[in-house]
Amino acid sequence: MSRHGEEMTEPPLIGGNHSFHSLTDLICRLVERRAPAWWWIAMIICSSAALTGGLMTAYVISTGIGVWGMNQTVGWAFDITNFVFWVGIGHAGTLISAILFLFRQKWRSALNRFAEAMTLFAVACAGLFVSIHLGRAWMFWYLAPAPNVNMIFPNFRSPLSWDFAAVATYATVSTLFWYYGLIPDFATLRDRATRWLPQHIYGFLALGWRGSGRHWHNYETGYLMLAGLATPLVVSVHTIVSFDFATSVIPGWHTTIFPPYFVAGAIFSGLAMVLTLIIPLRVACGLKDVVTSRHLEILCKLILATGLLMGYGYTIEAASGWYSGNMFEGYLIYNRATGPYAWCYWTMIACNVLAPQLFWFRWFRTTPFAMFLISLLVNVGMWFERFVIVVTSLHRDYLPSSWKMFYPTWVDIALLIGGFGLFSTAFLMFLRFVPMVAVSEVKAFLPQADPHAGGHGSSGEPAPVERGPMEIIGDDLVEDDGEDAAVHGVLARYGTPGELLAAAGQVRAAGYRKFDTFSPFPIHGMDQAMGLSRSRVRFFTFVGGLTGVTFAQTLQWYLSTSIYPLVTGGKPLNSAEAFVPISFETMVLYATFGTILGMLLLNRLPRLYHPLFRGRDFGRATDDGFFLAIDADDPAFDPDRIVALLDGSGALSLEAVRGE
Amino acid sequence: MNHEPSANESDSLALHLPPSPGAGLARGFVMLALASGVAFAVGMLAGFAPGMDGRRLAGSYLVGLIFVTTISIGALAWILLLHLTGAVWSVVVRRLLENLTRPIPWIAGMFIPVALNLSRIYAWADPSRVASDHELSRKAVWLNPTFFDIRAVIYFAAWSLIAWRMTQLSTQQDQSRDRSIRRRMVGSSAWGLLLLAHTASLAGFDWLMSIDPHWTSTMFGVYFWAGSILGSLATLTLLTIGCRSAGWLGEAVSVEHLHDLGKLLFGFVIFWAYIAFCQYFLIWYANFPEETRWYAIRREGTWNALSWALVLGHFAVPFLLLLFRATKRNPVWLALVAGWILIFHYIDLYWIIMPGCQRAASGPNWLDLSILVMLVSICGAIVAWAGRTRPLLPIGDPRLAESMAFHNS
Repeated sequence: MSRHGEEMTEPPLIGGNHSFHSLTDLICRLVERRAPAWWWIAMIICSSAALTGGLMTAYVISTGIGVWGMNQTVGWAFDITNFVFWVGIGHAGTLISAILFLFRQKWRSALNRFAEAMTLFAVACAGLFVSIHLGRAWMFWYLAPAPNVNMIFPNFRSPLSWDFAAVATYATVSTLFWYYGLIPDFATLRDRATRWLPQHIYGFLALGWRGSGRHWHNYETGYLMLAGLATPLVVSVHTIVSFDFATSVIPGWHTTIFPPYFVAGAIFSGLAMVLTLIIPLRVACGLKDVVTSRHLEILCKLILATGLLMGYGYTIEAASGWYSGNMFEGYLIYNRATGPYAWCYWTMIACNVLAPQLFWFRWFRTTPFAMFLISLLVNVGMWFERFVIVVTSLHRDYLPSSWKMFYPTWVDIALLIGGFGLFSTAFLMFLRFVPMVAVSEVKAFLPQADPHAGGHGSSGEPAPVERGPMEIIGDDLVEDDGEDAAVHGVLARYGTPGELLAAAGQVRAAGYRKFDTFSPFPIHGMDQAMGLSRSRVRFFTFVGGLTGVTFAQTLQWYLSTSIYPLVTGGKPLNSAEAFVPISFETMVLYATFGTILGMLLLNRLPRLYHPLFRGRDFGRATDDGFFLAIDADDPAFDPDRIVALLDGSGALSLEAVRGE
Repeated sequence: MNHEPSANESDSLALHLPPSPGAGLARGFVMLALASGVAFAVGMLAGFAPGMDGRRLAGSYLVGLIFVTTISIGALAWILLLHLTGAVWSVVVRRLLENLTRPIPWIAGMFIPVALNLSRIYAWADPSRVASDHELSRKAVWLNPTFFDIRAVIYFAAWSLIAWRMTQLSTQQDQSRDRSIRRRMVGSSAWGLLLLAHTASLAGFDWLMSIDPHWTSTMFGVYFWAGSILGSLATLTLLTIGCRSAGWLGEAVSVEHLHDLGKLLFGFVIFWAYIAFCQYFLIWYANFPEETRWYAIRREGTWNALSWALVLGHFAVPFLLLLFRATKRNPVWLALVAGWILIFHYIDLYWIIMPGCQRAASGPNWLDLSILVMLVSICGAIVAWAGRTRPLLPIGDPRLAESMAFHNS
């Protein structure tokens, strides 16, 4: 995207003049240094709010949800408003990490890690609200088809069962996807750590990642598979949340536009939250070079686009109130716009439809303060949207005698605050312990990461390298004197990705097969240079998906027709249509398991210890070092030849690594 | 792929493009249109089509007309979307998309027979039925022949305007090589897409949903969109493969571009299925009689067979085929899948429109086919003719060379 920048004058993806190492340092430092004062202040405020939320949760569970302001007509209020709000916030994370990945929007790499973290914590908040709204939260497990003595099973034709499957799958898959992306970065932190505890914790979490060419090969395929799975998943999640409403017969809830309109709204609100968080953070954390003004501008444009979709949804909804000829539907629209909750409706319109229109103007897309303000308005507006959908549809029932108003109690409000407290506390913790930008990904967008950069021409031939004589680390490169452990292999370090790529080609051409390359990010073209065939991770994904869909279909059909045949809602016991949501979610879940398992198996991970870790500079393989190792097991292994070959290929240093 | 040709190289490349035989092709299409017109007339006069009354005929014409309309406005949507997202890979196919939008003003002319026969298709255009139906007289504010025609004029005018603007900018870019034109293209795409999205979804509500004026689905505009986008993408794929194998695109379009078209086809097959399923599912689940009726009709007799055909043909078959990389990278297979999708796009529209225009459920008729071939040939002639006047590649786009070198990583 940056290469055609001339006519549009787009700034580069990464500002400043960074080297691989300075970029690693910039991002990792945030985790390694002592927490700054602002972090402690923010933490005190946020954790107090979270604590309030915790106490309120205990109070609600122990006393019962009667302490909320809900009543006989308004059966859902703040609980479900908050639930939908938080699930929606989560969607931007997956949009940025998966959907934009599939659309090759490279700028996403600066934002995806932190947006994914936001997703996880938002989904956790959503989980909190939806669990306590059950009333008897300790019976939560009834939502899962767990074998039990009473032989009572969930109703698979109910949207609430689908919702459980969707949110649980979403939480699991986003966590795994997030962790998957973190593996190389954990390895970076492991190799940079100087103290015992962080070294071991990050070392354990990194699963022994070495950044090998074979690792990256399977890893990248797996990432593509996960992105491909997460994309329909994220759409399905808010679709299913919308089913909670739209499958009902309540005016204002039953409308077919709800699925795409909910998904657009979720992405809209999530993007606004990304903007709200990143604008202060990029300043506080000194990340202006990584999250540039260009990133912010693209986010603004996306908010404008999704805001227009929201406007379309509101218009269609209102218009169909008249067109459908359903008097209840018509009254509902009228009541929303003019009834006692009209102020909520108009707040929603003003914040979600009108405010984003300012982003048509460049000034608003380039002035952080203005963007921040608009993003806050969108957050408010989207919360009100859910409140409008949930409460105004319920509070005037079919019978005017049962019309009621909903007023939140202090518990409702304290829990609302508690939700934000939980979210922001978790987020602050994330900032302290995990790199908030995907280090390995952004490095790949530095100009020097292109293996064909630096005037090496188009053929991949290395240019004459200006370097001193090759450094030989250790004195006995080739001799095996029997005192030390056996030689595991030879490790050579190169200066640039292009040199490593060329060297890999030469080593392969020289007849070596048991060799590997190591780099802090995947090098384009390395799999061909190393002669790797197409990754077999796909196969694991496919088998996982097939297993999931078969299992879920069988389970639902069997439990619904044979074990617990209960007719509900006039639906046939075997309702193929109603089984689709859960089958889809299970398919995605199992395919995700399959993909990650496949990546780990094919890469022989976890393997916390590897002889190569003994290499003197090998820690740089996750920072700015480019290595090539030839195994001593290789039938063509001949120390003298190797020294000559690697010296000729431009290696900076050479080392015999011992141990097994 | 490492070798990126400079702007000069793309100049010389365009010069090497063989002249596309647009005129001959256009003539061929005109002949085909005439032939199918004659076949249709003979068939009608000879009474080969039992049950082909005026209503049935008007419906059949509407299906064909909406089919060609969706292809053109879908292509327009693609142009705007690709400009807005700054996609580079698609620069090589942009001119083909622009040519696909050229029939829009002509389709407006072909809409006249529909406007003259409104009461045959739409119950709300029949004064006697409006008088006896309270619901229709209530809706007459919106659904009345005059306002309907005015709206149709507005839609066609808006689409022609956007299409003309994008074509004009692109021609300017060919001639002047002015780099600032790209910025204007993006700017026009922003308002263009906004206008197109609203008018196209309203057209869906007007032309298709109001055939059953008692039925409402707020999703219908999106459903219409999803079909149009997919149909035009399939047409673009066929056109690209056709022009590529005829050698009219030089070396510009590689397997990598086909792979990307295949991926998009895959994505939008799923998107269509998602929208179609959600619409059906919500109506099926809530089970309101006034909503379910629309689907209940389509789950009987011939229509039920078509419903199943859609599930399998519009979703399952292309989904399974496009899962595989080999399908997307093989021109023959990809063309087969694209053609298949296009056929089912027609069946989808047929399935939406015809149950409202036929008293008894009877299957498709060969006269339907002659009408379709006639309309498609007319549009084909216009597209072919457009290919004669300008190079088939946007030679002025500064990203053309980069687009040609595009490679799936």
